[in-house]
Amino acid sequence: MKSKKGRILLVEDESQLVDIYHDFLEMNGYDFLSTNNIQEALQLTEFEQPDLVLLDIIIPKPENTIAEQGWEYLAAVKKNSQTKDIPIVVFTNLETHRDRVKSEKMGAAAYIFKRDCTPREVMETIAEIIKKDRERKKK
Amino acid sequence: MPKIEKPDCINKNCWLAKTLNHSPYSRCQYCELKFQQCLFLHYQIISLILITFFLALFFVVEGKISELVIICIFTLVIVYGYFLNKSTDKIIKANFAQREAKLALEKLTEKLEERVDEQTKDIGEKNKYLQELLNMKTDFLRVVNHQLNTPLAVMKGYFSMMEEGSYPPDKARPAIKGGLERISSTVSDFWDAYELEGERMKMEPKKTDIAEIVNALIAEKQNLQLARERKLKIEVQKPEFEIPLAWCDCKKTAHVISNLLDNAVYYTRQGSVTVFYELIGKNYLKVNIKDTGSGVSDQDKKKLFQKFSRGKNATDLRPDGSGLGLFIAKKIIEGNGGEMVCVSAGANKGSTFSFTLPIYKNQKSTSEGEKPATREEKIVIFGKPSRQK
Amino acid sequence: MQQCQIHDDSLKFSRAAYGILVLIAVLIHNQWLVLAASLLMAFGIFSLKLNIPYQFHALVIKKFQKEKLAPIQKESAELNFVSGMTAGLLLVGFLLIYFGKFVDFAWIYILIVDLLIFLACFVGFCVATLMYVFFKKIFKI
Repeated sequence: MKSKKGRILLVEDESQLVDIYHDFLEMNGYDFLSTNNIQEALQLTEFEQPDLVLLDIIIPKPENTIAEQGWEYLAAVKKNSQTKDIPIVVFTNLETHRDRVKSEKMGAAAYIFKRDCTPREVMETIAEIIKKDRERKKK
Repeated sequence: MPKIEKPDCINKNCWLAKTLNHSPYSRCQYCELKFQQCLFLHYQIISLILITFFLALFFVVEGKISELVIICIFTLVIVYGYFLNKSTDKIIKANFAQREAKLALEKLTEKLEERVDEQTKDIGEKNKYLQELLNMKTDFLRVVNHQLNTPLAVMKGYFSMMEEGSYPPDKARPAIKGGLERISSTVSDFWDAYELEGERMKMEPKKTDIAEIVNALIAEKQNLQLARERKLKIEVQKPEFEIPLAWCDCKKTAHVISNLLDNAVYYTRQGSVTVFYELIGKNYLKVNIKDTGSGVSDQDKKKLFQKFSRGKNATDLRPDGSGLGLFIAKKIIEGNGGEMVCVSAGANKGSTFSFTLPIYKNQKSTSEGEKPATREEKIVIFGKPSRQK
Repeated sequence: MQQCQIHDDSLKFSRAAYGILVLIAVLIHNQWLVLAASLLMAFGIFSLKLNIPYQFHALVIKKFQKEKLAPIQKESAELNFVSGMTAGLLLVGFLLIYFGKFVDFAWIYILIVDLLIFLACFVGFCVATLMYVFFKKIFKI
């Protein structure tokens, strides 16, 4: 049964952070999915059709090398006609202006700087974006 | 054998050539020997001596000189001389060629040396640069370690006490929160400092009431524990003129003033911290923060605004300083179109830190209409006008 | 000192020419030939242009030469002196024979002078040049 508020997919490798948001969002009535693998994320996005995706950019590769795989995910999602309308929120610790501009150019719905935001602030942003998105889809 | 160019010079070592002012024989042009060493001269002298000797001998022995004898002797001398001429010619030309080759080799060596020097200069510079980077990295790690470990230790302390139950959570919570904020701001500072390397930070200038900011900050600093302990007098000296509005980035400038006031408080053991204003021409407002504290020695003045530089005795007064405060402050002021200076009579003689800001004269912000995506914002929603948190 | 460009091979030719002339004179004991040679050389005292064998070689025979050799610099005074010296020596020899004094010695003497001319021609060893240098040194100092 899908939650009324929305289904959120979190693509994040830091497990403690996943736990925090799992608890917080479920407590507040959202459906919560998460993965730390890009391939799995792409599949989940297509099949589960979440209302919003929180995307971490720095996700290490399976061999444990540092990589910014988040960008690849974002590009792939926006290319896929089945998933291109799902709002993606870049949720990362990268904080340069360049990264913000890049997220916007690649079609992200918003940019959240992980370190300085509380779960509540993130949730409020999620709520706002989902609301706007639903309004837009009705039209 | 390489072709030898005919040199126009006369052999300076050879007496004969110098006197005649030209080379007596063609090979003399290539010769560098002294006249005494000249092979040909030896030949000439010996020949003359021998001829004279033999003729005399014949005359004495035979009583007369036969023509045949004369012809024989001379033929020998001539033939012998001809071949000697040819071979000395060859020898001297060979010597000359050798000398030329040696010169050419020397020139080549010189050139090569120059090239090597050039290349190694490049390497030397790169080396210097790398060494500087290495030093920066070491500084960075050292300070980061310190700046991050300290609040972590504090937080850990309070937290563990709270866990044990020996400290009330209500009191522990703000302390832990404070630690969190401090770590956050340290990391921001470092980011600022490195982003500012060589570039001006992007400012968002607008109409700013400096006087208001200063007054608010002064009130805040007066409440600092350190200021109260030391009974420091922190005040503003009201100028005769009306303090104009400035055109600058409000938040960042406030950060600068706060930083300067903090410094003043930390480094002044007793006395006062005074803020006073000046007008520079018609376009600039100068804000001065004067203290009666430990001053800045000439040595420290040179590195005052550099990254990670701390005064010699700074750790006595402020053990936690990162060395970045003034660096960031200067970059911010410069980014706003102003200048920052420090004037100090010397160690323990107080100091005055001042900066200038452009006065507001109806300048228009150039960033109107741009999507606000500065470093300051932690949440940005795309596709709509300014949404700040 | 006035320098001029001369052709070394032409000079050699002229010296050889004189040498042969005087040799013939000695071999046939003809003093008039000696006088002739002396007078011929005497022209060379004034200028190289009057040195007939030299000019002959330089202007005529050179045209048939395939390679052109570069001229050498020499002091004109030196050449004049050399011509004069040689001419003078030959003249002395002639006079000795003419007046019948020391005739045998005179012929030997002329032969020696002739062979010295050949020496200068083939080996480049000119005694007169040395004398010239010597005198130059003495008078300059």
